[in-house]
Amino acid sequence: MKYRPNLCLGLLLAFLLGVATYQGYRVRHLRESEVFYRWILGAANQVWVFGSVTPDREAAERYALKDEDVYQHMAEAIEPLLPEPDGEPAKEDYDENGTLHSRLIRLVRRGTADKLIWRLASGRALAEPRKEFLTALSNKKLASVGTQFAAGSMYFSSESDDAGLGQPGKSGDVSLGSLFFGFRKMAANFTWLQVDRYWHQGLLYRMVPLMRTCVALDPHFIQAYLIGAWHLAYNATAHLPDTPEHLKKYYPKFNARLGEKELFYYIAIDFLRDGIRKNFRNYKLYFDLGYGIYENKLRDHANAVKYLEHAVSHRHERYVRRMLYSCYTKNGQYEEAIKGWQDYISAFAGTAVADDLAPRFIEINRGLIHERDGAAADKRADEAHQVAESSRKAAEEARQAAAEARAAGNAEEATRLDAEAEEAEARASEAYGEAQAAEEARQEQYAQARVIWEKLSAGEHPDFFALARLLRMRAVELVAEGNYLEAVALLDHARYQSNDFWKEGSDMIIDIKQKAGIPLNVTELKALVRREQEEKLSAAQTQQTQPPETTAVAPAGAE
Amino acid sequence: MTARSGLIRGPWAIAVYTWREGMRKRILIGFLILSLLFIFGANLMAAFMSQSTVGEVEADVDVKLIKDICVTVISIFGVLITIFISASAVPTEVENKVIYTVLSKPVRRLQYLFGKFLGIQLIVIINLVLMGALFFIALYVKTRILPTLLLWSILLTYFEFLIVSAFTFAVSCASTSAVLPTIAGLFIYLVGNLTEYLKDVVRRSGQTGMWLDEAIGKTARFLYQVLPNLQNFSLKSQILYQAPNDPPQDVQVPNLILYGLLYAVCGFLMAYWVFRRKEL
Repeated sequence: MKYRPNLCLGLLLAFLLGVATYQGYRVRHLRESEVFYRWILGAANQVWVFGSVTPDREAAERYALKDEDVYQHMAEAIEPLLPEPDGEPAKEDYDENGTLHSRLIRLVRRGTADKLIWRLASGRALAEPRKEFLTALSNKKLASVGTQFAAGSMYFSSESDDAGLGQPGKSGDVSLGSLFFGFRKMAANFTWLQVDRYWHQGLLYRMVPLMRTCVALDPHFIQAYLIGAWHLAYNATAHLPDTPEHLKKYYPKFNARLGEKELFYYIAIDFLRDGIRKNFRNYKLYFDLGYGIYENKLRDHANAVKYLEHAVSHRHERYVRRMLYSCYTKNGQYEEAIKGWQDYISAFAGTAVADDLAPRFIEINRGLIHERDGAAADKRADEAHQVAESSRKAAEEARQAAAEARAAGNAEEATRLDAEAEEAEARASEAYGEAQAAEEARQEQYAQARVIWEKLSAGEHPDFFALARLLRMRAVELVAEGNYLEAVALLDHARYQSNDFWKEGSDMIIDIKQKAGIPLNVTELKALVRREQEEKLSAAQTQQTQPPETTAVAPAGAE
Repeated sequence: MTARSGLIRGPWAIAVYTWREGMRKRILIGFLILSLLFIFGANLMAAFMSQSTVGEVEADVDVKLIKDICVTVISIFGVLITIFISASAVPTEVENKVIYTVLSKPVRRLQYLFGKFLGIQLIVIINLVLMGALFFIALYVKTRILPTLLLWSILLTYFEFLIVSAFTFAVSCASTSAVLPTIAGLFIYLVGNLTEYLKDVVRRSGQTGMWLDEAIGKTARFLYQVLPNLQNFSLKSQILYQAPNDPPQDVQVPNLILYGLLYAVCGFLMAYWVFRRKEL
């Protein structure tokens, strides 16, 4: 330093720059590993929730996306390095076919091995899959990743023209994220303001691409997903009439026949699913998808339950569980609903819901179980009765034939026919016995249900759903007695007691009127026509869209 | 006073003096007041910006807007304060001839520079603490939860400023007025944020097969690896939205701090290299 200060300083500077460059390389490696790590978690979750890592199968084929390949290679590399999760596998650890999910998916679901997955994602063990991932990412061949700014690559859509709601154009090959100097989130906020402006101006069709740009700028803008989906599924459709069946169009992407109004629901579903891909541990997105759209808008109880179950598997607010149990009831999963409410009572004892409402919901579910079992017993009794009747007829015929054979001098044939008749009589008697037992079981179940409904509908604050169920039971009895008009009147009264009973009550009225030959009013006639049309079209559609054996993954939006 | 204590005291005295001098600058005070007003008004702005939402979602949008506005305001005004103070600390003293009085004392040029640099950092840190504290309060008032991750965000912001400050300081040591280093500082900030573009240049190079094309690609690759990349510090805004103890962030934060320190030392060394033989 003393003799050649410039050289020494230059060398020192070069050395320090070298060290800083190396540190820069390390930081870059960590950043890339972080993207890879978050993709691993997100992709594993996508396989768990949606059954596939590809958001849109048709787009994946059209743009030669590598999501499936990269995921496959990564999963093969990581699987032997992961430990078996603690404890017995839960119901959620199995897929729809009953196959146990991979360790990666089970660990991601539990969120207990994030540190290990991060170590692996940033370590040498996954160097090859990481390289493959980063290459695919820089070539924009991954649609399942949510941390890049490339609207075009994140929202490939084969339906942009057909859907009519537009899609953002490709952002080009340059990383636009850098343009905002680290203020992408603010850019997303300003884009959101524009969305809000369009909403107030009623320019719904302009909102959608802008909403997508907004979440492309900030993929973790949860509220943009929630409010966007709310605008689409609720506000945009508020003044639109239901589309008549014959005006609906088939959308392969959603695997459904949709009109303008219904299309908004599915765009909202797509939007929320996109949000889930990028923020898979946020319960609100699952909740809005399950309850806000599938349950409230599409009345698809099975999918509502599916997404609400996902919502409660993450950190959530209490109301999410309540809605899940309510959907269990609507989906006919009464036992699960009872168990859920019992858990709720033990977890939140002392709250108004746990103390006042939960016991009532448990009782309602018990009542519904009795009704269900009663109906099953009724069906069994009917079947047994039919068997008994046919056996009795067969016995009579055999006896007659035996008498004729005896008169004709054919003693051997007469003996055989007598034996046949005896056998049929035994069958009939057994079937009568079964029918009797089933009838008793039915009466028993209905009696128990009646006790529950009477208990709940009595008092100062009656439960209106229970009241509607009680009236329904009386109506069924009246129908059995042949008092059709009284039954219709009672059901008409019952359906006004509870919203949840409206559809069932209305359908029952139509059925009774048809059975009794009572003329239907205009609304009922229209409902009947609609019902028939829907059945016919859905049967035709099922035939038309039967997927080939080799198609393992359903297209995005299809449930 | 021993020689060793003099080595520390000298720069420290210069640092304190630089800090006092800096805090008297109207433009800095103006920036600081403006930034504090923005942060203080973030609540109000958030209320205007999220007018169409309701209930729980509205509260979430408000919190998000407050976070984004505050991070942006701190970044913009913070970097402006850093650039202005780093660009003017030495040239102003040369212009006012104060430097002759200081250097005529038993103070080495390295000590003088170190003291100046330390003083600049004191100003930057105090400004950041003020803005961060207000941000902290704004967020706490809204959420009623102590936003501890915010501290990491502010820390990363500081190390981003440290790099900008060191290189601006180096340019200022070569300059006689504060104008050129100020422009250079803004340029450093912009270039530091656009380093990622070099990756695109590398990817597109070599397609024509011409030597110039290849050379551009190699130069871009070299620059991409050597130049500081300020986009690495974008973690400062991400961190506010992640859960605590997020594994990648726990590893990245210390690495980014080291990254910032190393480039800052490089910048300071460049400043010294320029300044040690400078004709005053």
